[in-house]
This record gives sequence, C-alpha cells and structure tokens, in this order.
Amino acid sequence: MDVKKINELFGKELKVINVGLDSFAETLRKEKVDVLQMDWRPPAGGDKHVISLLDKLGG
Amino acid sequence: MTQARLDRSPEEQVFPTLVGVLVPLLTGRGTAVSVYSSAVNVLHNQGLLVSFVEETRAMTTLSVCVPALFRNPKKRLAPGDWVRFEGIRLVTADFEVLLQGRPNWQGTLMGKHVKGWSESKVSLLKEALLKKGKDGGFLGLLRREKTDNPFVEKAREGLRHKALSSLVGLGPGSTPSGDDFITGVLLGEETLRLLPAEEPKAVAGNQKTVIPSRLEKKTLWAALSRTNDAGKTLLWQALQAHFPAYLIEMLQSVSDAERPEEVAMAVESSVRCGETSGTDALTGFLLFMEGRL
Amino acid sequence: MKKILVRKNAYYDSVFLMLASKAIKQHPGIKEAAVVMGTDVNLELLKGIGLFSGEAASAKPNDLVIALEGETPEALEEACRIAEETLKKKSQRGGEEEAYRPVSLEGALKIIPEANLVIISVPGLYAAREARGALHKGLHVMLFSDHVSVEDEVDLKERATEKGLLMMGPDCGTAIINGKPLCFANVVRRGAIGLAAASGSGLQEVTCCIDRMGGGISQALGTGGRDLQEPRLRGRMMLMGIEALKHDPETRVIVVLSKPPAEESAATVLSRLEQTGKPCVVHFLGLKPMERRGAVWFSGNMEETAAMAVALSRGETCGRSNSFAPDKDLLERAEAEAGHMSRSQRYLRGLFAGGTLALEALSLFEQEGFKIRSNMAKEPGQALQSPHRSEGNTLLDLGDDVFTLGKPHPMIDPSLREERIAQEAADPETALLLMDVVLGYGAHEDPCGPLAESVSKAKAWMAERGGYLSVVASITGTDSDFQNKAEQKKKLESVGCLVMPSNYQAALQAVHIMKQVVQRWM
Repeated sequence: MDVKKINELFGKELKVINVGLDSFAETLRKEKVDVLQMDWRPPAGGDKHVISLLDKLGG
Repeated sequence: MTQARLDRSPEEQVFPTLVGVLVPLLTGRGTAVSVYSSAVNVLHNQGLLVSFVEETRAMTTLSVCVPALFRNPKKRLAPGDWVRFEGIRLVTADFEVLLQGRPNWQGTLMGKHVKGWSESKVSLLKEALLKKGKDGGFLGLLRREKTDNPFVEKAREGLRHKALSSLVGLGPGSTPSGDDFITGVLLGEETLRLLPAEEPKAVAGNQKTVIPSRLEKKTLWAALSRTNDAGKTLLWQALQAHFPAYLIEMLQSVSDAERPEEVAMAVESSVRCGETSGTDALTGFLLFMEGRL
Repeated sequence: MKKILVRKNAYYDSVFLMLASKAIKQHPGIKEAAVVMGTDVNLELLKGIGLFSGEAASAKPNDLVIALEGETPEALEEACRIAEETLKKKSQRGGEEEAYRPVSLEGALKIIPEANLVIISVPGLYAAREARGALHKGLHVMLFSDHVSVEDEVDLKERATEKGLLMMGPDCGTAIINGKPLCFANVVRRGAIGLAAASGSGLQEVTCCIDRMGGGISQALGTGGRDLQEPRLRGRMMLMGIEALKHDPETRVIVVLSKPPAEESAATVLSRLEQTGKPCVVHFLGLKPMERRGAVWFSGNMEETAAMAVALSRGETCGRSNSFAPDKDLLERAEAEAGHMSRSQRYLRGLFAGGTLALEALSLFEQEGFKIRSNMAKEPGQALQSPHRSEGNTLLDLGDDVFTLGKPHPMIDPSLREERIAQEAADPETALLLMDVVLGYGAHEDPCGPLAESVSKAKAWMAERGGYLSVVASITGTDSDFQNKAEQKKKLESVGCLVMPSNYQAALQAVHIMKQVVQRWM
C-alpha cells in the first residue's frame, strides 16, 4: 500500500479544483486556499449513451 | 500621431501583437458574445464580430491578436461584458487594448502567396481535400454524385444556375457552410487576379465554372443581410478581398510546396479550422480554380 | 412527428454544434435532424423537406434552429431534452473550453496545473464519473456526493489504492487537510493528532472536542460512511489513511472513528493500527469499548475519544475516564427540569442534524435501558410507522433522505427542524427535546438564532398548557468558527435551553432528565 503521494500532499500547499457546490470553494477562499471553481453541467444532458460517445472522443 | 490617452494604469493596458486593419475603423459599442480558451468574440453594434485571438493563425482583418489577454487570469471577458470601440483603442471594464501604433494585419493576397501555383497543384489540392476534408458541410459538391444531404443539393442547384448568392446563409455550422464556400470562391478569384497573366486559361463556354462578375458581387453584398453575424463578418471582409490568416497561409504553403506531401499537409492544416469551415472554403476555392489554370 | 426548437441569439462554436447534431441524430428513434442557423435560405430548405413549424417561422439568422423528426413522441421528447441540455453547456469538447470558468477537468488543469485535490459535490448520478476522471489525472479526491453505488465506490477505491491517492467518500462531508477545513468542517488548532473517520459529524465532534481540550489536529481524513461497514470495500481507505498517518512526522497519535465495522475490516484495521508504532484511540460508535491492545486504546464515546487522544499526545497516562460519570450538578439539573413537568409529559424527542451525533445519543439511551424509536433503527421493533410522526421516545436523524429530499440539509437550513420542534411542542406527551447544533464552514451562519426562537415558542406553548418543556443541546464548534460559539451558546441559554459542552454530555444530561421523568409517572 503505497501512500507516498498522500504524505506528499500533507507537505504541500493545497491547490483545489471544486466540482459542484460553490459554497465549498468560497470556504476555501476564506481560508486562503488556492481553489478553482468548475462550471459543471451534466454531460450531454445526462444521457448515458451520449456520455459514453463523448468519452470515446477522449476530450 | 497623438499619444493614446492613458486613462488606465499600466497593468490594465494590453498591447496587441497584431491589429486587423479594419478594427480601428469601427467605433461605438459591442458586447462579448462567446468566450473560448483562445478566442473571444465581440459583437459590434453594426452586426460584425470582432475577435480577440491568442494566435496569429486565427487572425482576420477584424481581429486583434492579444496573447497577453489569454495568459492573464485577471483579464477576462465574459459573455455580456461591454466593449467600447474608440479607433485608437478598445476599452472594457477591466482593461484596454491599445490599437494605435501597433503592427497592422492586412489580410490581403500578394504575389508571393500565389506565385508557385499551377494546374498540377490545383489537382493535388483536390486530391488532398477529397481525402482529408471534413464531411458535414459542402465537400459533397466536389463529387459528382448526388448526396442525400438537402443542403448540399440546394447548393449544387444554386451553382448550376450560376446564382452564387443563393448560397449565402445556407447550410450547417455557426458560420453557414455557404458563406465559407463563397469565401473560398472569392479567394480563388483574387488568386487568379494575382497570377502572372499567361497562367489563366480562357474559360468561356465551360459550363461548370462559377464566375463572380461585378453584377454577382453586387448581389453578394445585398445578400449579406440573409446570413448571421459570423457569416456576415466573413463575407464582408472577403468581398473586400480580405481573407482569414489560415487561408492565406494555405495559399502560401501550396505555392511554396515542392512535393505533393507538402500540399497535403497544407490542406490538412486548413481543414482543422472550425468544424467544416476550412473544408468548405477550400471546396469553394477548388471549384472556382478547376479548369481555370 | 416533428419538433422544432429555436434558440435565440445563439453563439455556439461549430464543433459544438456538430457534436450536438451528432448526438441528436444518433439518438434512437430519431429519423431526421438538422441543427442550423435560422437564415432564410436554411428555413426555406427545412420547409422544403418538411422539417418546419410555427416557431421556426419567427427564427432569425442569429438564432439556432434544431429541427427533429422522430418515430415516436417519446423519442422526440428525449431528443429535445438532450438538445436543450447540451446547448445549456456554453462550450464544447475538442479542446476549446470557456477560459473563464472551465467546464471540464482538462480545462481546469490548464489553468491550475499544480492542482492536487478535487472536491466533488455534483449529483450522485455523475459523481463517480467525475471522481474517476480526477483519479485518472493523478489527483486526490474528496467525494462529498452521496447516492453513489457500492460498485462504483469499490471501483473508485481500487483505482485510488492502485495509484496511492486519497479517495475520501462517497458521502464524505468533512475533512481537514494541512489545517484547512474542507466542506463541512471547523477551524481547529493545528497539532499532533491525526484522524481517519468514516463519519462526517463525528469527525467534527471529535476534532472540536480536541480543540476545546487544548489539543490540535495534524490531519483529519474522511473515508466515506461505508468504508468499514461494507465488506466489499474492505476498509481500504481507512487503511490508506492509517498508513499515511503512520508515515506523517506531524502525527503522534492516531484516532479512528467509525460506525460498527464489518468483522474482517475491523480485524485488519486493528492489526494495522498496532503496526503503526504510534499510540491509537479507536471508537466504534454504539459498541462497547474493548480492552486496550498494546498501544491501541478503545473509547466509549466521542468526547472520551478526544480526551484520550489529547492525553496521549501530551505523553500523559490515558485510561477510560470516569470524568463523565453523572456528577452532582447533572443530577440536580435533571431533577429541576423534570420537576416542572406535567403528568402527561413522558417522552424524549431527539431532533438531530448530524447523523453520528444522533447515533451517539441513541446508543447511550439504549445502553441506559430506554426503548427509542428512530428513523435510524436497525430492528423493525424500533422503527417508526412514519418518520414524520413521533411515537413514544423518538430520536431522529433529520439529515436522512426521507426528510431532506428536495429540501436543504438541516445543518444548512434550520427550518426543517423548526417545523418539527413546533410539532413536538404541540404534543402534550413531549417532555424533552434533545438537539445538536453544528457550527463551522458549510453550516448556517446563525443556527442558534432561529433555533432559540423556536425553542422559546415551544416552551411557551407547553407552559400555557401547564407543563414544562425541557430542552437540552450541545454545540459542535470551536471558538475560531465564524458563527461565534460563545454568542450562539448565549442565545440558546437565554431561552432556557441547557447547553452542554459535548454531544455525549448533552445525551447524558438528557438520559438523567428522562430517568427522573420515568420515575415521576411510574
């Protein structure tokens, strides 16, 4: 069980990408954490078939 | 030459590397309508789209190349943001782009872009386009067979009746395919004009060709209102013999090409533009050039 | 059948339009589709091929027209819905994303390439996919979302362990990494105690108690609620967390917190803890604590967990304390509270926002011989006929789905609990209200304000009928939380609420009040 990367995280500055509720990003900003808020939308309107097609694009 | 009035502090000024020659001609207000990672489109209230672009390759005479804008997270435009056109500069809420005294981008064809063109290069272009061109637009026009695409067939009909303007606004794409196609035709006309006199063959009697006469140009100008902002913007420039950088680059590359592969590479590079824009423009260019060299 | 959609003033990229067009055309049951700008000539053509309608007639060149022909009305509806949803997205795949607010992880990583943690709180249906994407990019994940299937959780944790990454969740509401509170978390002192918990509000309670007792937190990792309970998960994330804390030079004491684990997972966790070489405190909620094994201590409640951890971090002797045995004050208060009640008042009504806090209270009452009905009940005999109607002694986790579907969680919005308080106050058999208040990031900015008002009203009603409503609460939070803990406490106390220093003590106080109540009407 290699946990090197987790211990590395403990020693570094957090750089966060927030996918979802804005309030979590706001919290982090208040705590002076570097956070980027993603503008998330359900992929392809949520259609699983289309999602798998888009996944094939590898974008 | 007067110094641009400095309303802003130095951090808020952006210096473009290139300014499309037609941009300083516009004054008034505009609104950002779409924002991408390497381009921002602003709709000027005259109905023309002016773009901030990151790469030289994306230049048009209605573009401003401002790499700094795309590398600085603090200078961002969002859809709905206003932009003021002042001739010497473009002003937004957070920054201004200085236009005066910056290098201009002409977007016109010159001899050096076309001097290496020949009939064989036109053939090579056609071959490469049939292989590498993107379907979905008007590539079908290069082939003789009827397609089941109603837009292609409608375009074919328009060409048969020598009514090029009937293609304005026709077809899929955020810039309708017909507009890209016509741009390619206009590019062909300009190319021929610049070639040494002995190259163009006489084409009277060739029923397949589409020649934009002066009359047709007038019709094309009048047809501008029939398409959307993106198409209008493209044609407005092309009718003034101003073409997008990627098409001029294509001409230059083919002109300089010493081997067939180089022609193919130039085509591949052009068809990457947009979805079918590159393909459609090259299709129009080819249909014009075929039988004329 | 045909349908035409018109999107006014549409500025979409051609690549995106092409993808949207493909997606619609490939949808089963769609015969024909066209996605074009509303220029006259395009509209003419659509008319000519029979894909036209009234809406299209008003379309202008800058409008986007989507014309569909479907085999069935259902296919048409579905395809239309997909079209609308896809267009709501402001950008498209193929390399170009909105620079302003990226819509994809790739886009985000262009802007913040040194990113090391992704926090995901999108609907459960999509959450696993997002988490997979993040792990694939080598990023640690905190998955706040719930309603993620066990299969997905197993898959995500397998990938995470393979890559040596954190996969906190799903349903992980709390974590503190490098001193930074994530999602619902409190501002706590930095120190030498590291925690790995399969519980959100539990982690909050323990870390806040540690802070109150003068200790500090190195790291507090969440594993997601099921990590130790679901056999297929094998406690993977808990084991990763323990291993990381073992190697963390800042961590001198390791605390593990979870609901009762599956047997095999428990055994592995305990043996792993013994191998850390650091003193450990383990609390399995609701279970009687075991005897110490080497350097691994077992605690009986969350406050005790904190006390033992703090003692160990100071190198002090640590034992199961008796300091929380009922003291004189607690017994006196119990008598006083019960003394004012009317004969009809008999029952406890526990209204909790934090699931683990509710569980701790429930366990204590049961240990003390009370029969409590709950929406958390494991046995059918303890279930409620309807969670919306209390029966006898009732203790509720108001954060449960049955209450929160379509409504905000009670930690964020007090109105859910306020309504229930009023309901209980109207019931002449209600003797005592027991509640938790959670402060910190993510929680309401002034939870005790509206709560105090509700309590005040409730007590007034009860008094009008000649009774006395006892209200006991605890506040999970620290002095550094933005809600101002001292003021919050004052607000509750000013309306006659007993505010205890911890969830356990509040439950204990409530137990003794209820013992008095039972004695009175026996």
